[in-house]
Amino acid sequence: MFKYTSSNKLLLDLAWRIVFTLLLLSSSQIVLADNVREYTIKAAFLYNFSKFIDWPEGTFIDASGFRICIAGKNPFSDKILSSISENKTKSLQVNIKRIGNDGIVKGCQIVFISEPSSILGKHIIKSNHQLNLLTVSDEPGFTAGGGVIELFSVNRKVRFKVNLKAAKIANLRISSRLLSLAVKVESGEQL
Amino acid sequence: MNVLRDLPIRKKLIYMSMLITCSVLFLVTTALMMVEVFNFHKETVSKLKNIAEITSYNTVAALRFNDKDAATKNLQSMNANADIHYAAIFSKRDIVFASYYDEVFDDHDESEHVLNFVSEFNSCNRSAKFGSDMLLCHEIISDGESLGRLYIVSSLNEIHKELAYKALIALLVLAIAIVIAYLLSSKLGSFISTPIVSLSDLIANVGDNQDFSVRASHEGDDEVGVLTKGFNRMLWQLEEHKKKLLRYNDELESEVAARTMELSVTVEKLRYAKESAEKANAAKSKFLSHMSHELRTPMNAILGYAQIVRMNKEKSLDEGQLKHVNEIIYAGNHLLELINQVLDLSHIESGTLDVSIEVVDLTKCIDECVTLMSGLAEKKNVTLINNFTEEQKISADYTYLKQVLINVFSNGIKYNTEGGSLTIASSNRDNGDVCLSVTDTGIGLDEAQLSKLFNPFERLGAENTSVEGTGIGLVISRDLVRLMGGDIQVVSVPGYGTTFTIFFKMSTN
Repeated sequence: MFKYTSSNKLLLDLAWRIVFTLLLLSSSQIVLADNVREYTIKAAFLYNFSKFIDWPEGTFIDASGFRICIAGKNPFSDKILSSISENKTKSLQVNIKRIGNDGIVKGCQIVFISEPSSILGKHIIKSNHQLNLLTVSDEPGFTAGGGVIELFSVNRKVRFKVNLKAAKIANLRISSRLLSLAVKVESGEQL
Repeated sequence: MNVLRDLPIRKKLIYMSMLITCSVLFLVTTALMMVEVFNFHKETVSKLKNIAEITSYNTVAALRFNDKDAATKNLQSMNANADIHYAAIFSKRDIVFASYYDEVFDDHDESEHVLNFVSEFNSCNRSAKFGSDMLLCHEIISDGESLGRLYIVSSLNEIHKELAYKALIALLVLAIAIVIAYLLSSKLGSFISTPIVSLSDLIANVGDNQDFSVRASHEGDDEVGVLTKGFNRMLWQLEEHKKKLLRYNDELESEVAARTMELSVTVEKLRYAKESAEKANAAKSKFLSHMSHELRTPMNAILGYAQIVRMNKEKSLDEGQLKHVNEIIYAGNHLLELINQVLDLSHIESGTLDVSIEVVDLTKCIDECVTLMSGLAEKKNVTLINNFTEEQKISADYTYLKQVLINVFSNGIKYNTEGGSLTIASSNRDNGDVCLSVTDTGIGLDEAQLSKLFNPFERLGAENTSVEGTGIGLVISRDLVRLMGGDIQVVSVPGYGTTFTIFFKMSTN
């Protein structure tokens, strides 16, 4: 008959701990990898939106390029951002700009707001109607709060919602082809 | 070709028009069908291009946002087109992004088909026929950026069915057209063939019956009309000619009859004349014969007594009386000779002269006659040259032969010129005859004299000369030679002389 001893018990406990820790570690690794992939796709989405949205006339007259701005915390890898900035859209070279706490978003066409509920985020959303900004965020409830496009994940696939009212305020015309892909289109009456 | 050549014109026309109709229709139908096939393919490709254009436009967003569900939903709209069996969107990495297939297309085929398509299209934006399918590749481009490819497979079966249906209709039309062409051409062909056939029948009829009074009838001024008119004109001319010929024939016949009548009358007249002439001649001969005979008897008495007077009373007669008696005897002898000759002639003409043919030595006879004539020749100063020295036997009557020779020789001497000559020779002998030529050197005879030479009592102007003669010696000579089976011919050159050639039958033994 096998006889349990305290040292044995301790050993078993230690083993379990090790296994658990290992599991925890690996799972965090997976989560981390998933996160990178998701933001890579989201970065591509930012660029692709430009293909289905028309800015008002005269927007690009003095523009040195098509500017995608990132306000607040930057969740994107440098690699994906530099690869995006190699492309052209609306016959213009894409360039990426970080927005600091001053919140100057003039010259931006697309603004990714990582924290829309912050002061900076709210400021940018408010200046939307003057600066014809396509505001994008992956914060839940962004469209309800006056943002134009909200990204979210379903079954590990990135999907988006569109607030038409906000788009209209920003004077942006969104292609029906894009709208047909949107999971939800809000008229944004609650704003 | 020979078979075609002997066909009646009507059938030729029918076959010709049917051949033309069929070939034209066949060509037109074939051309139309080819155009149809070409157009069908073009239309199909163009339709597929449109569909591909719209679909790829609508799929751009789905591709950009990696939304396979949306892309698949987009492709589902192909459902509206029954011909499209399969459609697929390939991403940039040649991975199937979304696909559509209808119930005909088995899910199992997909991978195989996809591989085929991709291998079929190295470069996109073109179409190709793949079995009974039309394949189309369309590059999905957004903002100058290639996002992937759209492949569409459309079945051509429906189109082929429709084409077969159209071909069937075309064949039906062709068949109907052939029937109509046959009916029309046989109906219309008779317009052309009937007048020609009736004309040819008429020609055959005219040829068989030699009846030129018939006329061909055809209205219209076409070639057949012209032909008919020409034929009728020819018939008319033939008829006229025939009439003329008949008329000439009639005229000729009556002419011949008239001439025959005249001729028979003339013949009758001539026969009558001949008969009367013969009668007259016979009467003359008879008269001459009788008269000569009657004249000879007193003549003999006169001569006999005159000779007695001269013989017996020669011494008692003086010179003047003797001269008169001699004159009587001379003139009596001449008259007796004349009477004898007339008697001979009448005997010859009445055919009562007996000729006894025997073998005669011609050379000897000539010699005797030459001797007899030598006195006369000497008197007339004519040289006799006898070159007939070769012995020659002939069949003749000796007495008459001598008479003939003497007559010819004496003529040659009497009508010769002073100091002339008479040459007797044997001339060419052909066909067994013996020829004797007697050539003088007299004044000769002209054509007119020659033609009268053998007429009785014709002396050719010698009657006014001192030369004595009766004018019937030559006639008798020729008749005698002829009775002995020979002949006398005369050749004369005026101013140079005359040659008498006498032919004799050579003695057979």
